[in-house]
Amino acid sequence: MNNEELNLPTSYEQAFNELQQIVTEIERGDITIDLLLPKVQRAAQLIKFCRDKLRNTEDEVNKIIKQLEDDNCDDM
Amino acid sequence: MENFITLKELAKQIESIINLNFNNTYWVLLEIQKLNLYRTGHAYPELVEKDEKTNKIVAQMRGIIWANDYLYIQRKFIQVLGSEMKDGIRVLAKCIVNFHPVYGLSLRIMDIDTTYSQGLLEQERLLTIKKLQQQGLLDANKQIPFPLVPQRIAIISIETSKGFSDFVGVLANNEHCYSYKYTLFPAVLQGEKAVETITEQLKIINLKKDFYDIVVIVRGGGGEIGLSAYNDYSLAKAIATFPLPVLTGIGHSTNLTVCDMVAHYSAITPTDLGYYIIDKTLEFENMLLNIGDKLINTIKQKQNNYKEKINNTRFLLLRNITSQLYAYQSNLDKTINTFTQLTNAKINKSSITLIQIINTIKYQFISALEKTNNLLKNYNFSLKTNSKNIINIENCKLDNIPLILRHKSKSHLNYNLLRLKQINKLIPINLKQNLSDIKISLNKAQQIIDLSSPNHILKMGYVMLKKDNIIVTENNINKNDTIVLEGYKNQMEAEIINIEKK
Repeated sequence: MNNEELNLPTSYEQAFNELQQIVTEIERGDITIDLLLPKVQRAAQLIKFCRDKLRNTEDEVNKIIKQLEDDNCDDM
Repeated sequence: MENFITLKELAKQIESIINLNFNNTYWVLLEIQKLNLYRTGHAYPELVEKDEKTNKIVAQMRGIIWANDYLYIQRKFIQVLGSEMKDGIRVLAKCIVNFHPVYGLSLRIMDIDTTYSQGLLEQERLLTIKKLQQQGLLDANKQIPFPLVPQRIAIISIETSKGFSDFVGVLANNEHCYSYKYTLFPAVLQGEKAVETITEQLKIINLKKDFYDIVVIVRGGGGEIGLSAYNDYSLAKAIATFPLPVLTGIGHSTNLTVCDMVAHYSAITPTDLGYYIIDKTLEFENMLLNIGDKLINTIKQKQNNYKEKINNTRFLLLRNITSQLYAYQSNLDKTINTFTQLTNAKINKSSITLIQIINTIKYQFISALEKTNNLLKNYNFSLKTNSKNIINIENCKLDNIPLILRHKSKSHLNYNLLRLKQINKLIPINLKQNLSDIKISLNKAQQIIDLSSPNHILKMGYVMLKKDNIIVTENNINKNDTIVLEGYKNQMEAEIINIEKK
């Protein structure tokens, strides 16, 4: 899956704002335990996105994906 | 040709004249163009004076700083100005004019007035600060929000600078494995060229500002004298008004340069600046991890709350059920008690009634017996008296009977004889008639019996319904029963499929 499919933000600021919104919502306590799970999953996704981006794992992965795509094109 | 002296003699004469006329020390305002420090520890600086407007050299002299003096002066410089004495600085120096037959004229520098150097720098610095303050630019760069992660860095430095390699090295080898992208924008880092080249590079970075998070200016070593460029008004203004946060690590220890002051952040060394950037990144990551922890805690807390609620509900439920059960039980006990009491009362009442009834019956019975007994006694008495009378009367009658008998029996016998004869004649006739009648009746009866025998009926085609060898009728037959149809010759088995009322 690429970033668009996961609906990942394009910057740290976007990711962090969304995270803070989630935290505020959860802390305010108006989220039921059933709705909690998707919110927390999204938060985990955002945190991972940011931490990967800090270490550029994301870039590395994209490079690899691009390489694979190129290889496929060559095959065809 | 008789009037000549040797070069040595001339030199000696000059030496004596100079020594005679310049035997004092002088405080001379001069610029050390080049320090020329030798391994021996002695320095042979080129001393000049430049025209303030044209910048042309208007005086030049060789200088000597003996190793002892040099050490003393350097220590003072470092203490007071925070940097070593370097090329290109203007100083107020305590000098002695020296002439040596071999080395010629030179100025021996014994001391330097650091207060003057300080004053020069400070004057420039204060002027710049004042101007920026008037324009409200001192905090302009600091007002720009610092990026969450300073990951894309435009570096103004020079490849050969130790500051640059220190800074880049710290970033590259950070223990958190953060990755930073940087571009070097080379510039002269000290002296007059510094202002021009740094400003130029800032302009270039400004054009590509979307590709960078921050700008850093790093240089290694160098004293505060060389740093005077960083007190320059135009450079400080360029930094203050730059659209991205500008960070400095230009190496100094005492007074901040104006560029440091207006910068978003200034570190003492490039290494420190590198750590600051890593710390900022770490700060962000820690915020992320804190959020993660917070979420985990919140979820755990919510889960615990729910568990507690469920437990409480279960406990309440149990308690309610138990108390209700107790209530039912006590109600039941009460009911049983009441019932027992009522029953006992009724039984008591009933037994009393029963005893009364028995007594009544007993009395009535006894009185009835007594009555009957009396009656019997009366009867007995009357029987005794009556029977005597009757016997007497009958005796009298019996006495008369033989007379009557004698008289009546003869005629009666005759009559009866006659009757007997008549009857004797009629008997055989009647007997025959009766016998034939009886025969006919018997035959009829036999016929009826024959016609109504089951065999006859079966023979006529009717069948008998039997179940378990017992005859069944339509009243005791059910759906799905298996029955036997018994005919004259055969018997068949059948199952009742349906029963419908007619």
